[in-house]
Amino acid sequence: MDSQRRVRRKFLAVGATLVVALLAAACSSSGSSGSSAGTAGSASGNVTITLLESQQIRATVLQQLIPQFEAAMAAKGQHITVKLIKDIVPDDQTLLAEDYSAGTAPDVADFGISYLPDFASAGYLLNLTPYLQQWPDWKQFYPSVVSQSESPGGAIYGLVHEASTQQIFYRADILTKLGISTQQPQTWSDLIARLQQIKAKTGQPPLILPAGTAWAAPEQGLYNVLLGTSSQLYDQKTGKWVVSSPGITYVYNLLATLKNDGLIPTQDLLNPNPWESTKYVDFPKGTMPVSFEGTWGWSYDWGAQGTAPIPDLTTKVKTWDFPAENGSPYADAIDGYVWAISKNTQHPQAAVELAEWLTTGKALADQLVAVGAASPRAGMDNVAPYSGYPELIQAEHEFSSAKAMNPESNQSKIDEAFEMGSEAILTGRDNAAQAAALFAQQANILLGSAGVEG
Amino acid sequence: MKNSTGLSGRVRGRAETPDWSVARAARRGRPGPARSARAWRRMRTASVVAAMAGPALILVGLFVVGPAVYGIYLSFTNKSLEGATAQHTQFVGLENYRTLFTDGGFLQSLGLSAEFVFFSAIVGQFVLGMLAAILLSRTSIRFKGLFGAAILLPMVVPEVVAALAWGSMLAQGQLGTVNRGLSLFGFAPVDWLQSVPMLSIIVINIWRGIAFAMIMFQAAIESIPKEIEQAARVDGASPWQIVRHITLPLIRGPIQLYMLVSTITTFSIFGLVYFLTQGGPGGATNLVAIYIYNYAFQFFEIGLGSAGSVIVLLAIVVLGFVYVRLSRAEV
Repeated sequence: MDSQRRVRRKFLAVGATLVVALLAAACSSSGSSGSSAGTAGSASGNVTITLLESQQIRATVLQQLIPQFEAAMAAKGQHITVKLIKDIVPDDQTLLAEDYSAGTAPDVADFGISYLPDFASAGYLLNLTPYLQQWPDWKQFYPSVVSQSESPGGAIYGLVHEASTQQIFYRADILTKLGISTQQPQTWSDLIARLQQIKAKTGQPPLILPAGTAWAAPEQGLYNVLLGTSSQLYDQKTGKWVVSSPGITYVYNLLATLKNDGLIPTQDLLNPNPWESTKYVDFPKGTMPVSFEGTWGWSYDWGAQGTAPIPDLTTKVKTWDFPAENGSPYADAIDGYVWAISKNTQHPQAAVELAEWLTTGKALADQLVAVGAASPRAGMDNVAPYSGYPELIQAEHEFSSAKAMNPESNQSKIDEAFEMGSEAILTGRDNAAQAAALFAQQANILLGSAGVEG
Repeated sequence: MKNSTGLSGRVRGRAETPDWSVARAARRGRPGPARSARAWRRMRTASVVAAMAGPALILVGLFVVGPAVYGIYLSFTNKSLEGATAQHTQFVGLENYRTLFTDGGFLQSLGLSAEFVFFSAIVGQFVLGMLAAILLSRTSIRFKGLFGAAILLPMVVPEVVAALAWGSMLAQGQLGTVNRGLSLFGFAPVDWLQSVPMLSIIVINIWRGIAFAMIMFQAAIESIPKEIEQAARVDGASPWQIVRHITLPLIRGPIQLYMLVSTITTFSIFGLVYFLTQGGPGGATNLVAIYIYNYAFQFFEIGLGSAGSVIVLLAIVVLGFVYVRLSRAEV
């Protein structure tokens, strides 16, 4: 009987051990993501903070900058260690949202500003306003940049560390060779006439215009056209999205015209990763010599270290502002990535120190040059290596006259609904009026009737 | 009939003989402690079963049943990962289900999934898998191992790699391998993923799933006694008659099991199609798994995504029930 009991006890002990081990394994951190709760300082007073980066090019720069930051802090008597977490994945914002929701997000995260309103209103982020008000450099940030990162209540939840000016980039060398004017087109009719001339000579669709659900970035595409109309996509007074307006109809009509006239690469736009065959192949080759593009085109896309380098880039490539209905061309100012700090961080001061340091002086200049962005703040013109890139400085100076569409809550949903409409035109399923109706319908489904008007 | 105590005769009778096991043991001449020995054996057996099955049950409970129940709960809420509702999740009853059933996009995605499952799993993989199994079970076939390995290869290739490889082969213009091959015979290039997107993903999924069907059917065919086939052959049956009247009826169980498993797995296919078409163009390949993914992880509407998953779960349960009832297979 005793032996039977011993056997039973052994079974129970093994079973209990397995259960405990499994529970411990299930509850432990994955190791790939940082945890705000897991970054407590050691008994010696050292502080460790985690920093999340989701693009390789940015992570490479940060790897070089982090030791400099740690040394700078050490010189001030602060012992801060930064642990860089690289989540180089396509849907990085999905993972980040999950981390925030689960309370396991890193102390500091770098992401596109379009996600800022929704992450902030979800209560995931630290309000940076009191910290920034005490930071002397904060006054050097351009008002147009700051306004894009402000929440409806005026609080700042993300520190913008790059900005871009979006324009129409064109291959001046190709157009000159084809005998086509490179003067600024005033209206879309002007530009369409010129695109038709190019197509007549090359036999190919000449304009790269981000549209459709595969590209899914209307802020790089048709929103730029919408800015030239008198319609607003978001009503600041009511806090609702305007899903039906003359401007939206105008934009879809323009897309339908470009598609029907064969002026945009429709088949490419319907493929997954449509930018690869267009921006990374046809534009560098010169076979699609006109493209909607942001400041990042000078480095990230076509720079010497970029994805598809174009030799003598600044000689071969020039920019036009976007044509407008009223004949007053404009550029579009758009904020890029922001540093945001988790509300659950145990070291808010150290996290803010890191964000501010990375948005200052040479550290900022290194990042701006790497990704091809304009400075969001004044005083960077003479800071190397940024000072050696006049096209970036030029983009920075265009902020004051550029139009802008601020990111708002539910931005990703309205973007998706908008691109469903554009895709319906690209596939030929809908005409412009039907696409506008589809957009309104999808926006209603995604946002609910309380979130839209018009 | 009730007695004076108000208890039924059956219950009263049980109350009057409280320990039947002792009485039976005594009648069989066994000593009284036999009961405790049996009880101990039962307890020991239960302990062993618990120790053996416990870890698996805990894992299934933690990672399958628990999340499924939580998913069902979430489907009745407006749970979101972003925006103000992330802080104030509320119970919304059947609102998510109402939204989905009034959304033409969701119903369309269910229809596309049904089409995808029917043509790729039930028709394509079944027919080609059966053909491969019958051929490879023939003793006269040479290089059986080589053929078997070739058919198995698609199954061992990771889903993402398979999608990217096919994406390259079906690329538009002269970039794609398939178009280059066709151009050798004078055919014009075809934009496969644009002009025939559903057909393209069906063919790719057939390619990928043949191996599973073949393995199941080959094992079933080889379990059929050779004597039956030999007897049929002696009686003058043709190869087709042997397949039609002997092989297929005898492997009906594995066939139905395959149908059930392949329907479930094909319904939930995501990565292969997402990496090829992302549901496009124009929603032409927006299978229900992609639709749910978009709602849950692109728009962060976890409540809506969960409701979509519950609907798919119910659809699969109903399909499974129908399969089992139709075939009376022992699953």
